[in-house]
Amino acid sequence: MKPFYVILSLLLFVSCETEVDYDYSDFEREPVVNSILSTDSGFNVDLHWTKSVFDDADFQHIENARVTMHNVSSNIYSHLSYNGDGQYVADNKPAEGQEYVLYVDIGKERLWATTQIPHNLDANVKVETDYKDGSFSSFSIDLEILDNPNEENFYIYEVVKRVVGCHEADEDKVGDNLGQSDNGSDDTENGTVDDSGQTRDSSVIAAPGIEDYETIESYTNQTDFESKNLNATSFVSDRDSEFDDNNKFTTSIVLTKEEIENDNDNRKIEDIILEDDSCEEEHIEYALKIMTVSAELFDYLKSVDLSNQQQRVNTSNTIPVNIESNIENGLGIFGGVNVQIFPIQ
Amino acid sequence: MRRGHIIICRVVYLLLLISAGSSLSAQSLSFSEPQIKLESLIRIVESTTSFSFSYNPNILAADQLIYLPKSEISLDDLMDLIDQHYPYNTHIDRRLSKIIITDDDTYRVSGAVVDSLSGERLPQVIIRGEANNLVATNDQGLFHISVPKNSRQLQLSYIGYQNKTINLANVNPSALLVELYTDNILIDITIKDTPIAKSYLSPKSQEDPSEVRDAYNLGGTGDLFSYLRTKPSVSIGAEGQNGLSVRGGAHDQNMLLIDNIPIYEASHLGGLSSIFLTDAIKSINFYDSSFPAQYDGKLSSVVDVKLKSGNTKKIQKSLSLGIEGIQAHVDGPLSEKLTFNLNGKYSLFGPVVNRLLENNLSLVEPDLLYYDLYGKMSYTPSPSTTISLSSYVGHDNISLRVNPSELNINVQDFNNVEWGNRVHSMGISSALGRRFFLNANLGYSHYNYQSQGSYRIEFPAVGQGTIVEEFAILSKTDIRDYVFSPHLEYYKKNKGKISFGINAIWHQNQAQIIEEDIFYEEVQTIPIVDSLYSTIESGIYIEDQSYLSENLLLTTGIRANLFLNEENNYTSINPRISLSYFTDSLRITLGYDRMNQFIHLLSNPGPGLASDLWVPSTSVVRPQVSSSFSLSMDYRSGYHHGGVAFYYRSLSNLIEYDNPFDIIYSYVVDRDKFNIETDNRSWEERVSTGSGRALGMEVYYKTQVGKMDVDMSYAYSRSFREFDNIDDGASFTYKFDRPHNLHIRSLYRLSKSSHVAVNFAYASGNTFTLANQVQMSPDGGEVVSAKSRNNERTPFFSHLDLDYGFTKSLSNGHQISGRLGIYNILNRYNPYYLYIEEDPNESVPALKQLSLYPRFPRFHIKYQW
Repeated sequence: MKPFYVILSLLLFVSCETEVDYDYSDFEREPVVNSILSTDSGFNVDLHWTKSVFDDADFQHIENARVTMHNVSSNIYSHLSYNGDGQYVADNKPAEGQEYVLYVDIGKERLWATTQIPHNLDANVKVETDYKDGSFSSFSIDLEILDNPNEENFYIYEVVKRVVGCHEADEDKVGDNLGQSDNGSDDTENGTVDDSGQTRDSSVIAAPGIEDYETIESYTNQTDFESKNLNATSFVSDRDSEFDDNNKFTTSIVLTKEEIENDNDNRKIEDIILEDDSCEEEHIEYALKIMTVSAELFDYLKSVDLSNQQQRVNTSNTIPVNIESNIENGLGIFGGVNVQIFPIQ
Repeated sequence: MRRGHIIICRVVYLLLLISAGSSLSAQSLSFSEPQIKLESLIRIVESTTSFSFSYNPNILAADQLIYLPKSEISLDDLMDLIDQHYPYNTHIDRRLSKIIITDDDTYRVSGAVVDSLSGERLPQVIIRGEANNLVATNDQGLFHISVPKNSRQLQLSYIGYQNKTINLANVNPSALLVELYTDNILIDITIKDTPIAKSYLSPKSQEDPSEVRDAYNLGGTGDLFSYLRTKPSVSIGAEGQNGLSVRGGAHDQNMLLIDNIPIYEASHLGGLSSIFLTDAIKSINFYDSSFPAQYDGKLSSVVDVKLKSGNTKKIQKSLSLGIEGIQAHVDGPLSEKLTFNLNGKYSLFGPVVNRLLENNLSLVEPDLLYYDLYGKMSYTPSPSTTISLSSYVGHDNISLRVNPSELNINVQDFNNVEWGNRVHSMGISSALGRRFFLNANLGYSHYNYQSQGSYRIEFPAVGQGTIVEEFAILSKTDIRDYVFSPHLEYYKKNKGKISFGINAIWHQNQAQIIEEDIFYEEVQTIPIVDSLYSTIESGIYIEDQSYLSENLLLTTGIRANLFLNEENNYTSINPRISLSYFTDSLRITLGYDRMNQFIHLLSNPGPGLASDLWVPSTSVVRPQVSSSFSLSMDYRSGYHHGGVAFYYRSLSNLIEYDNPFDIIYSYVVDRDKFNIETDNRSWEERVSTGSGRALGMEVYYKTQVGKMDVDMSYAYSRSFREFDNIDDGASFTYKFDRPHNLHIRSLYRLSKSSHVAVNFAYASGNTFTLANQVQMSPDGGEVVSAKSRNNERTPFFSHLDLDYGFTKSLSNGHQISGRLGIYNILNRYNPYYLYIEEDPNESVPALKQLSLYPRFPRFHIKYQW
């Protein structure tokens, strides 16, 4: 019987997987407004057009828009200036607990959205370091978030790290992408230039700041990330009843030495030592980063993550995840975040 | 005291007198001959009883014969017989012991119509009197028709059979048995050498079982669903698609009946074939509009299938073998009044399809299986009464394991889907008295569906080590229906009839999804938990069919529905109106129907296995409602038959899943990322309600040119939905929106025993939601999403098939027939599903499609004896 099927297959069957010609020339682009207000940075709004998934051109920035930020509480309007690459900026920093309305005028079309900056988080972080045979083995982080029962809150926590000390401006070494994620950085003869245009001198200790930390996942090879299926970011909200009767959320995170080493571009912790005797010893610092986010930002990030997970199994028999957006007449997200860093000693 | 005594005596005397008269009229009369002249009958009655006749001698026809149903008959029954079936009125005056006979303008002819070969009763046979009145036989082939006093003829016509004219002189008008002869049907090949227009008078809903045998499924077997998909109101379907979509409706919106008992799933293995065996089917009525009031509970269509009772003359057997599997059939008489019919099918398609799935879908050891079993026994104690018991059992099973090499994570999985129907029905059909027919059914239907997806995944997660996740999603639908449906028909004196009755179904419905932290390597029996819905769906209806003129027929009906569940109840009044104008060649029908659907199918729109749930209306989810308008024109002349139809249907209280991703997927992601434990929310919390509309135009044309039959149909059909939480309430095209459906079939008779058939089908692609737009996220990454629901359409579906059929009579009287053919001879790759494939060597992804059925041989051999 088996030879019969083989012969039959050879005679009649050809490959049943084919490519479909898809014409995206009639794709109608839509404006995207992305702006995350944080208490420790100025206003920054990114405007660009969507494109077809089959289009390999770069995203088109929106350059001639009028962008205004309105603080509802104080009734102050701030006009943002175009800073290139679709970025509109202003030096004003948002304040905790304030409500903001963003207006974007593109030609005759008006887009707008509302958000509120969350209040500071009330959390307890306890870290325990384990040693084995005299050397570092792992550390565990116990996190307890005390929720305000009178308001709906959303939290995102993740373990982040930064490299402190001096190092050669070598693209192969950890730390070249200091504080940045995908956009990379330029190497100069005297130091490293990050995407904000700031040059970091090799003799200068990087100032500790939120932007200096990066999530562990960013060091993970993209292929490996795919195979791991999950990253280290976790979403928590009191809307989803994760808090106990005392309005507390607790969890524990353990980082082992092997995981740290694997994450650290194959360099062992003991090997991260001074490259230059004149520099302070280079070391890696870890921290727990907790972001209290506005509801719309939480829903947006959650939907983006789900969408990214679903892409592997997306077929015409399934319905893609709907990406949340609070932008009227457009896409994107206008959200608020209050970031707190808890260094892991 | 004396006066009271006198009164009592008089009363007693009167009672004795009445009883004496009664006993006299109940007295049995004996006749030696089955027929007797009326004058002789009168003399015999007068000589053997104390009754005398009073009548005008001029009204009695000299040669009037009275046909007696039995040798001994009471006087009451005898006079009733004359009163009903002869042009006379009779009245028995017991006080005077007199029987008065007067003239009557009409009389009634009653009888049955049967197939000349098998003796099978034929339903929906049209009988036309000289007064141009029309009646149709009921499901048991029985009829009553009033004819004028001097009528001489009746005309009978039935689809697939030759017309017949009955001379009313010298026939028994109370028990007329008419045999109809088929149109030269030789086994499974239909050869029409008479104009097809002869069947004009057949009800619009009636389908020809012989044409069903000529509509082949993928395996080359005649199939009911393949036949229905050639009709313009039914979508042609798509690659691997099961069920029927009628006028843009969903698969669950079709009422499927086997001997008046509903079933819930009538497809096998992704549309390969339906559960209906052509050898088991006696009649098919298909309604896509102008629904009779006796039907309700589904919005789009009614497919009413009646099973054969069995040959009354001889035992018949057949054995078939084809790509699809083995079929066997045996039917015949057990006694003079008892017949049986057994049919079965067992799939052998698995070994072929399994290989296709292994090669194309990277599955490991897929296992596909299905079978159907039918049985029926019929007892006919008298020509006017039939009692039947029928049963159907069917089952489908699909077991799949994904090849782990296709995934980049360490994963094990086991997926299994199985479903099945079990139907038992007891029916009684009887002519009651002068003008009533009763058709009552008591039955039980059990539909069981369960899907099981079990997974074991290992992956490292930063901060948590290597994680092993085991989980299983079990979904189950179990519906047990207890059905009671008496239906009465009253035939008016001259034309028209009134139908009334009750439908009552007690549903025991379980719909549940269970999520567990276990990896199952084998099929599990899903336990019964506290999710049992006990509901009662009932309706009482009445429908009147009246002739407003010789050419104008008005059908009006009203149906009152009551749906009871444990929390609340729903009532509705559904009108049905249909006005038909007809001549010998033309019929124009305008109709309006309002329908309800109380049991809904929730289809999971996400990836992974189907987790379809049948759920009842509850206090949260209201019954679905449809209102339909239709206009159709049907024209027949000689060898030409064509028509056009327009329709508009509005729908409300439709339901869909809220979340657009799979339950399996949401379990995986939600559990680990959002710290949500097993999500066992009620299905009611996961759905939202909306509305919709469907509209379209249908055209069809059939002709016969020499030895060639040509049959074509085209439909332009649109279907839309609106849900508040989808696309901000904007209207979007429904997934069963198929703008263009074209079907052309041609059959050429090479000889009386062989033919060649060419079949061409074309349909617009299905709509689907493609994540086709990209935007940047605040962190500079890319986010892919869909601009709107059902924003794209798959490539069109089309196939051209070529078949050769033959039949051969053997010297021993047996017969063998067969079909050989090729499905999709042009080898078109029809889309089963589409997906976006990322290629690391390319800057943009590619849109790809997977096809299931390329050019494919099919054959079917049948041996009958």
